[in-house]
Amino acid sequence: MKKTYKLSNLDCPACADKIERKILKLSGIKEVHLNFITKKASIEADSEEVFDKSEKIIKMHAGDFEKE
Amino acid sequence: MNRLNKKQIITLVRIGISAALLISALLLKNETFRIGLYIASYLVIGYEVLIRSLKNIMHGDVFDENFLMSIATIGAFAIKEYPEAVAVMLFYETGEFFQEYAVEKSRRSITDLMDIRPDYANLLTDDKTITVKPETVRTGDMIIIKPGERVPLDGIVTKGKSALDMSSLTGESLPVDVKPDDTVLSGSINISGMLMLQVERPYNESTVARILELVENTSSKKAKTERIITRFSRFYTPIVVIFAMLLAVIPPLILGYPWRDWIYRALVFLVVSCPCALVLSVPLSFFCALGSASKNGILVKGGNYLEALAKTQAVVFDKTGTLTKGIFKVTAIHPEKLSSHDLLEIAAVAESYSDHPISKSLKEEYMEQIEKSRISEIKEIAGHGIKAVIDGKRVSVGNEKLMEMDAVKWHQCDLAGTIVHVAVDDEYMGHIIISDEIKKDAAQSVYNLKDIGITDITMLTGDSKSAAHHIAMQAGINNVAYSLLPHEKAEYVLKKLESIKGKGKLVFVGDGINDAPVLAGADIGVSMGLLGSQSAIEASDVVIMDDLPSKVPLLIRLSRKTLRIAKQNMAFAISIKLIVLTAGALGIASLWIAVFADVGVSVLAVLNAIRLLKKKV
Repeated sequence: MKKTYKLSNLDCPACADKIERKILKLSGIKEVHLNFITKKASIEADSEEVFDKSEKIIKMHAGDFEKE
Repeated sequence: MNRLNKKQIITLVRIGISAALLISALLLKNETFRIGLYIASYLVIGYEVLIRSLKNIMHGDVFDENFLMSIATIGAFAIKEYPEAVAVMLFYETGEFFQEYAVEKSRRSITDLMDIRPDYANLLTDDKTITVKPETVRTGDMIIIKPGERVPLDGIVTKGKSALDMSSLTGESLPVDVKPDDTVLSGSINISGMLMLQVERPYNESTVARILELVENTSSKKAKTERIITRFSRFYTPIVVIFAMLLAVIPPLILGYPWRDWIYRALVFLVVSCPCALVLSVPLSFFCALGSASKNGILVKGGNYLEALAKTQAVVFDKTGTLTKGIFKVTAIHPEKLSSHDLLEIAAVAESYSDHPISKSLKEEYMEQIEKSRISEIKEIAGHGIKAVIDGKRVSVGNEKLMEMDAVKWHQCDLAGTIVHVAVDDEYMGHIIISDEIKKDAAQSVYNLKDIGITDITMLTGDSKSAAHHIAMQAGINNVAYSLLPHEKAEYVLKKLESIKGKGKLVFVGDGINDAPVLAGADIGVSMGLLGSQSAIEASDVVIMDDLPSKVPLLIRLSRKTLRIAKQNMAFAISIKLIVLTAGALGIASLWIAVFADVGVSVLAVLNAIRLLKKKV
């Protein structure tokens, strides 16, 4: 399953890199890519649980987001 | 000028209030009042950072920039450096504001380029038109495009005449006229008349969808420079923070130096510890360059290709469709025993059943209606030509091999191009010369490449020696390889790659017909035109949307400029940070300087990167 999110607060590529690495550490994650310029995060994972955890990480570092 | 959003306006107001409070505090004499004002000023500007850092520290994120900034300013309060504590927070937020503004601006100018997505299509049903989503329209459906509307799907004009603005696709600002039977690409804008279109392919295969997909995925391929700087930032913050702690504790504890002085030095470190300025400028440079390229009608599939393009050593052009228009035309008729008109007529009639580009050009030149009933017998001999019986006479139309086969006494022609010989009842009647026209900007492209120091330029073609040399001479290319089969082109490029290994990169430019393997094999494969085959666009790293070879030198120039700016930014940010860190450790840098090194540098780097968005490369 693949989901994309539009983030509201992504200040710099270092932050994007940080979020990317944190999500990558979750077990069950297949792929994660944060695009600093388009402020989009795309995540591929097997279960809803992984998405929930990823969403928490995004929320913590980049504030609110919209699902696409 | 961009309008500010609500959040930005609030930030501006907070900056204003905080600054006013700080100034009145500096003017005030009463000590208690003064501290109260400092704290008020600090909270007005810093409450967001403080709240965020509290949240993040609960998650154990000690290297968070909000947290570090909070510690730095609270620390300054603790050692009674009130004005500086407030000022650091104030400048930090001001800098962030400008930085965000600039980033947002470049984001927007780039996403504007992507703003070619059509919202709706006017679908023609039996009795009326209905507005539907472009995704729901099927191949063969009829759609209407009114003046001012964006073409939602690729199609063929069935009714109406108009001019189309294709600038968002090709970068070419001159409108293109269309009439019935012309192909129209989605994403272009209908300027003048109403058009009726028969849809050629579904939305997800349309030009617009293909471009959007390419553009959205570009930044997933990162340049090496980008990766290096991100990796550097991962180590940078922890190291600087650890140094800050050592600086605050060791000299006072072991050497008995004054605590206050050394804590101040540590605070300078904390302020400079944020990696943002370093990291921001480099990807932004690449992204702005990708945006600028698409503004010029060039789609580059990733920052890594820009990096490679900057090191271009050799450029290999395919001939047909790349340097030439790929449109064949009769350029001369050399009759013997017959009139020009009759020679052309025989050839055109004989070739009337064929769809080959050569046959088409003959029919086009002849212009008159062809009565196919005149042909009583016809046979196509692959690689040779056509044998037919026309008006009861045996006619052979084809190359010299066909003439040899029938033992016709043919002779050579001095002109360049494809020669079509004609014989009637085994008697030689003369020949017709068909050639491809060179593109207007082909010679300019080669000149421009040489001008920027790229002299290793080759032209490849499957055509004969004379046709190849004719075009190469006009384009100004000395190095030509001709009579190549498609796989021989790939082999040629591989050999060339081997020969320039270690010296630089090889760029191959082709039109995507038959050369997908060559495009994939080169360091950078550039394909021409959106109308090229899907596989060619997939195999290539760069797509030139308007078929102009002169975009190649332009792109190389842009890539060099991009790398230069990215490196400037990196060197500037790193050296300023190192200087401030050293000065901070020695006790000669104040917190004022430190906050400039952090946000000031990042604002300047962003502004430098934005230079790449300028239209002129």
